[in-house]
Amino acid sequence: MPVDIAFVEGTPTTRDEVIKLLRIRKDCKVLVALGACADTGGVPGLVNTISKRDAIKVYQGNPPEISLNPKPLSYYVNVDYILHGCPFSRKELLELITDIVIGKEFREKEYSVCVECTLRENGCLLEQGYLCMGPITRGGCKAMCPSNGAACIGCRGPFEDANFKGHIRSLQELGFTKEQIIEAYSVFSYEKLKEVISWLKEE
Amino acid sequence: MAERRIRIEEITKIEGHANLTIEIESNEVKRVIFGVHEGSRYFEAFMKGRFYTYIHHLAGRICGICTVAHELASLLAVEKALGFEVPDEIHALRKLMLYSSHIQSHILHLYFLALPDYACAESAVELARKDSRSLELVKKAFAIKEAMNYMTSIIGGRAVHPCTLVPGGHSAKIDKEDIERYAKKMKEIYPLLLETAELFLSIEYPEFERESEYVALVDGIKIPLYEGNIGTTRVRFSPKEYMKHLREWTVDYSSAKHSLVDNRDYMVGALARLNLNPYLRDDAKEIAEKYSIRFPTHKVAWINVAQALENLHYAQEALEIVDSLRKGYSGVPSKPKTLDGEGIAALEAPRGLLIHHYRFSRGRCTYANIITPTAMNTENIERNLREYISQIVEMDDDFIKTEAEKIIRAYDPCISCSVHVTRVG
Repeated sequence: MPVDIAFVEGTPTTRDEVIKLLRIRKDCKVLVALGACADTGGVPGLVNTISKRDAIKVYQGNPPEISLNPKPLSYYVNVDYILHGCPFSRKELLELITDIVIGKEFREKEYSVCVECTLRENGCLLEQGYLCMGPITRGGCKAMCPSNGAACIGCRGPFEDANFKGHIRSLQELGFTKEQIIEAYSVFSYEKLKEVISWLKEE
Repeated sequence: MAERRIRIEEITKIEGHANLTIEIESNEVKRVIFGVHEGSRYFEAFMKGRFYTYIHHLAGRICGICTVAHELASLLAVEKALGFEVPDEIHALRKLMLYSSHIQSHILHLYFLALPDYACAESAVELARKDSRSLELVKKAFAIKEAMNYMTSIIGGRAVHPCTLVPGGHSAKIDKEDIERYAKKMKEIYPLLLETAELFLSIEYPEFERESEYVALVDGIKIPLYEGNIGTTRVRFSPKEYMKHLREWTVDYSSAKHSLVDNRDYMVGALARLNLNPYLRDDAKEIAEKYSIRFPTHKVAWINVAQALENLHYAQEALEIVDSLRKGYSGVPSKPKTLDGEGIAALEAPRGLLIHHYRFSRGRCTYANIITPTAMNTENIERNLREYISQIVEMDDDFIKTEAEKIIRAYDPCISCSVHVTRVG
């Protein structure tokens, strides 16, 4: 039975789940990737930063069957819309559904968390020496974390025109090591930022 | 191949994916397999090497429902490992978040996952369509859930993956007004929690009972969620000694581990907490007496009853803490005393005991071990099902399926939590 909108949370880690995803794509008009795991592979995607041999090592006894590497849903199927973030924003979810229903184009926020952070008149955490991911992270969360005194950890992933090199340079000037920056870039978006990360590693 | 094989391909109305296989020969239950078929998520593997400031953020992502419990257990273990000094107000704030998130999780389970079984409905959506009374019930459930999420977000910034928790403190300033908003909401919603308790205590549950071990935090005076020793009906031990008592192993048909405590199968969660801690506050106690509910009990389906009573208890506990926080909180998180060390924390998640254990060297995680409630319950679920199905083995397949699902759902299993670690082929 075809459905109008399919919301897919998470990303496949077994072959059965890949098959299920393909079937969902076939049976729906609009497929929405809901949340960071579906968008970028999310936190579980961190396992892609280590070798499978190391991943399995933590289990004593029976060696576990290996799961698939968490990838963005777009690696397997066409994704019509993405709701970024961990967690995604409830407001954006309602916006998206409304836009689809009334036939309006839903627009991704192509600007950084810093834009919303400045609008809320928060003091800049980067300037205070925090490793803040705001400058390269897609807005839409109303700068939730910085507004609560915590540095952005990049859960919404990078926006289209993010200035990675500028951000990395600022962080280095603040005294953060390459290792720390690579870690911050990996936590939510390893699969999306692989190129930047390998550039940084070689630099 | 067994003579009679009953299989539920996908158990619905639980968190995540699991199946059930029952094999019967000459009216004797030979095997009961509660299989978890979600992919392994390797959290403990990729936590290794991460700086301590990230650990609780990662841990929180194990689960979207008990995210507060995971973040807190993780933070406590990190703080113990690295010698943070955490002021009492911070612990009080965290407890407030834990109480509202427990009630939120219990409400989700009671109304949306458990109730349909007892109201002859496939789901809460179907239930809402039945009649106006049922619709009101579902609306009430949403109202409580929304209120609890709102309260958690007052302290945590947001209800799912709160962002204010940091090692050694709290990143946001919490005003007197915030605390008052929390208290006001709790008082406002309390009558609905009473109605919820009346409803879930008056339901007729499967009478099935089997004596097993129970494990929960204990402190001899309260029903502790945030700190305490680990207790069973026979022993008490410090969380540090968990490895001496809890034995985990993997099975070939499931990606969730199985576990025994001192060689006995055990249950964790609301019923275990009330069985081990006979300290319900007055309202909960009164309503339990009204419906002749007594603890300890070995009636498995009474997990639902225990959750409904816990809601009242924790609401009152939270209001008591509010009184100690009248001034609010603003302060700078403390710094670690050392960057090398080992920390173990045990905390009660809504579904039961949760253990986080880490080692750090130069601030980076070198070892992580997390034991979740659902992994602790799996062995107990199977043994209880085996016993219960033996009692009803002469009934038809559909009846057995329905009853088995009632028992499984009572545990409120969370498969995503259970497979944060391992999958065995």
